[in-house]
Amino acid sequence: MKRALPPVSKTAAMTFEVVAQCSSSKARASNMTMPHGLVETPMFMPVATQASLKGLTPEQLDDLGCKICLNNTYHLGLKPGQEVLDTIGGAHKLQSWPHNILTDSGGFQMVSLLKLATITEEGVRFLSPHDGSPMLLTPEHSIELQNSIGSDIIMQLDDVVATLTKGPRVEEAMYRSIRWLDRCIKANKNPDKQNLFAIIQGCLDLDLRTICCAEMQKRDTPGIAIGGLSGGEDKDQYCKVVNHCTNLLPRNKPIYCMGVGYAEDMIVSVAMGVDLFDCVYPTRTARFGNAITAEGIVNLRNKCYEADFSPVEKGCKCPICRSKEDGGMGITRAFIHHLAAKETTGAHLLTLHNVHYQLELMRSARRAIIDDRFPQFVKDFFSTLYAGDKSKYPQWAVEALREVNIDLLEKTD
Amino acid sequence: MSSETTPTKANMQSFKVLQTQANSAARQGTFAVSRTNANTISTPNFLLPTSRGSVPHLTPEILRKHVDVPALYIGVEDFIYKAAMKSPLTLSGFKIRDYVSIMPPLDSKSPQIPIFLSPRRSNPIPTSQPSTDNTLAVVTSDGFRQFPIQEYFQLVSQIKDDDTVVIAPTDLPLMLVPNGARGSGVAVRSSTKVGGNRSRKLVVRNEKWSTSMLEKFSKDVPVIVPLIPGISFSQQQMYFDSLLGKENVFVAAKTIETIDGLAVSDLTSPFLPEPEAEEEEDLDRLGQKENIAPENDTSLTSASTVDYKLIPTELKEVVRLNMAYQNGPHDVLRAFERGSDLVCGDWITTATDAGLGFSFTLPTDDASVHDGHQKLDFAHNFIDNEKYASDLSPIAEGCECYTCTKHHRAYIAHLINANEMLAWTLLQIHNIHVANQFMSAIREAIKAGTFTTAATSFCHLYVEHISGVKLGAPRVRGYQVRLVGGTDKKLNEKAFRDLSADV
Repeated sequence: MKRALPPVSKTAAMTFEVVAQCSSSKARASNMTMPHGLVETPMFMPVATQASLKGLTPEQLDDLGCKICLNNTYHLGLKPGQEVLDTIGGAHKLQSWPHNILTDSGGFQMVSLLKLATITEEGVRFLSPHDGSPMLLTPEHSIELQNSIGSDIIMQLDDVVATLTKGPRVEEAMYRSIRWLDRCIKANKNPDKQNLFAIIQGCLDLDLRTICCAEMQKRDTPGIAIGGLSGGEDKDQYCKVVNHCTNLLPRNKPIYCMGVGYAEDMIVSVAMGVDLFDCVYPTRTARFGNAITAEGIVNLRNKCYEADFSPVEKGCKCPICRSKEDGGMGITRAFIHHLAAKETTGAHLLTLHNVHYQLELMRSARRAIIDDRFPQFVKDFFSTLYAGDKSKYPQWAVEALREVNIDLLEKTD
Repeated sequence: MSSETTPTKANMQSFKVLQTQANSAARQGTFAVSRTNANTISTPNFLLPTSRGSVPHLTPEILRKHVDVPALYIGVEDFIYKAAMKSPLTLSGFKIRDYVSIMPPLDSKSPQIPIFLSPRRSNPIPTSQPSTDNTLAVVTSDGFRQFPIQEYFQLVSQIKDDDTVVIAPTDLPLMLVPNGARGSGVAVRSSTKVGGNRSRKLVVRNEKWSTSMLEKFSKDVPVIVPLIPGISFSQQQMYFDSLLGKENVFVAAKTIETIDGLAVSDLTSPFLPEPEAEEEEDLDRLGQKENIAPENDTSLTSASTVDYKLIPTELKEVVRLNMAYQNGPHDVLRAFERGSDLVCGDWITTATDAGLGFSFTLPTDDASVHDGHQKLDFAHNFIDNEKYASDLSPIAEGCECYTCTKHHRAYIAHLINANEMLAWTLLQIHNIHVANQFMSAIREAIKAGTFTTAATSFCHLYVEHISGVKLGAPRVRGYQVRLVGGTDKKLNEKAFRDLSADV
């Protein structure tokens, strides 16, 4: 039975239109139009931390069909710095990137990179990595920086606590994130050009998540992120939180799961109704010589690939796997093995492949949703990944997908 | 096979001199790199060196799309591990062009990028042991090896194609000083003095290797043979006689139809550590010091000393490949003035690695105009240079390369500052473009007879070394690490540190 599509949501800097819904699961395909063009979801956003995607030119990224990438506020705030960004006219101009950019708030790096960050009601207090002098990142400052960057999606500063934290600190952080959202909304100078996203906090406590979802919804931001996950929790706990939040959140707003990038996680999350993902994993693992393929990770530094003259992934349409006759580079596993960890071009080539894999995975999920064959797509995905061996399917994925009416173990004869 | 395609001495002459200079040995010409098609290189020009089959910082896709490559230089030692015949390249049965995915340029006159094959990398790392009569000492990613000459020939037969030029192995007396020998009172500066015994060995080995190479390959592909560095023309007369088929113990004289080119090398290497003060003293005491600097002896045939006037007439109209390390555009001009036709382009990658973006052109006016002016840097230094932080102009005004049309100085400065790999990709694209423009201007100047003036003018206009630039840093790769004399200190500081220790 077909559910009605949610109404088109139009805010000052974004039009969000769900164009198709899966008739079993919560998966949906949507068109998200922002100042720098259209983004078709579900979408994986590659992370160009310091305004460059690890060795790829913006043109190469564009050629892969990428329409939105991430920059990190914290890194751009340090280098080249706010003053330079203001003079140049923002991050699009800095990196000559014609499409959309999303920036995080900088809060996560405070916690992940700097051990001594202390969080008060005012903001995050930390020591400058330049000279060790005390500094303060407030919601106002984070938004000001993101205004200077000029990204199309900006994130609120949130009070991040480690996912596995329990007790009053979680509650405090959740309520503080709501108060900080109010300060961020007030501080945003460009609501007509930059979409501020709220971030749902509350760790693994579903009751806190419920309160947070309700409060954030009241603020009516153009989009909403589910934060405070991917921090070492079990996958089934992750799924419970995401499923819980997508049930509560409005259906006509984009939902973004921060820091999620493993193929399985993304597919299960799409089934639960998530639209946007980002992760450094595909680009980072490329630099370690790992290729992401439909059949799993291939570590091309392993000696067994030194004389393997097949493409990195058979049938892959990325620029490195496509044959020379087909306009690609026709790179072999042996050549990647030859370059891996010795010449940077080896990393560039694998980065091209991995980013293509992620983008193509989301594109094919979208096609499946639009054709209303998404459950079969999910089944095929797991079947290929585990070579048809259902006993190897991860329990958490089976259970999470069952929650959204996709039964991986169902007999298909 | 029709009579037209049968190679004769006349139609196989691959190098044609089109223009010479009255006041220098510089010349302009064309080098046919293929026996079967019309692929040629206009000289003077440069070969772009590869590292493990890839042009540093550039994926094959960028290479075909955004860079105009006159020719590539590939060192076979990059592809052999413990045993050449069991290396993946050999097992693949591939041509080298396919193995490393070199594709024809998207918009170019020539169908394929010419590849020059040599046993060793351009600018090779000195070895720990000398070569033997039948093996060449090489450095592979597995360490020092002896590469049998016969295996080099076998591998070349497999990997060459119609647009490949092959270079004969050169016994280069370029060796590292063993760690223990330093400061032990023994004269340890190993490489520059070639004694009598050594020179006889060099002649015999190179004669054997070069004549076999010619015999095996010159029917199919152009073959470049070395001049023996470090010894005079007269000392290697026997070698020339052999090459020219006058007196040859290894092959029948008539089999050698043609020699396509001569390669000159140098007996210095940027990889050899600077001699320490105490070593200089040791050398002094042993009375050897005057022997270690033969730069001005024109009877020698190293890249920096060679005088092509002394070469046998039959070898005058062949292409001359200068394999020595050029330390920037000034060196390149000097190499061409000395009569080289092709140089290795390591200086381009070295400049890129050092964070330099070229800004030089060959001047068209007279040198004296620039007297009294402060000399210009030949490149922009993007390392720790805040003056480019908000500069939205291209690296070089009016430059038509991909980097300059799509990006600006501020981005390059940011990427360098952030240690992002893309910085080096963009600089490399630009620097290769500028090098191409430079080569083209040099060729035009030779045609117009103004080359000597232009070269002098260039030296008046630009400083030879940019102050504060440390070549090789900060993107030092494994093979650039000194193999002797201890480990270099870590060059890249950690970007983030644990501050809890400070509190």
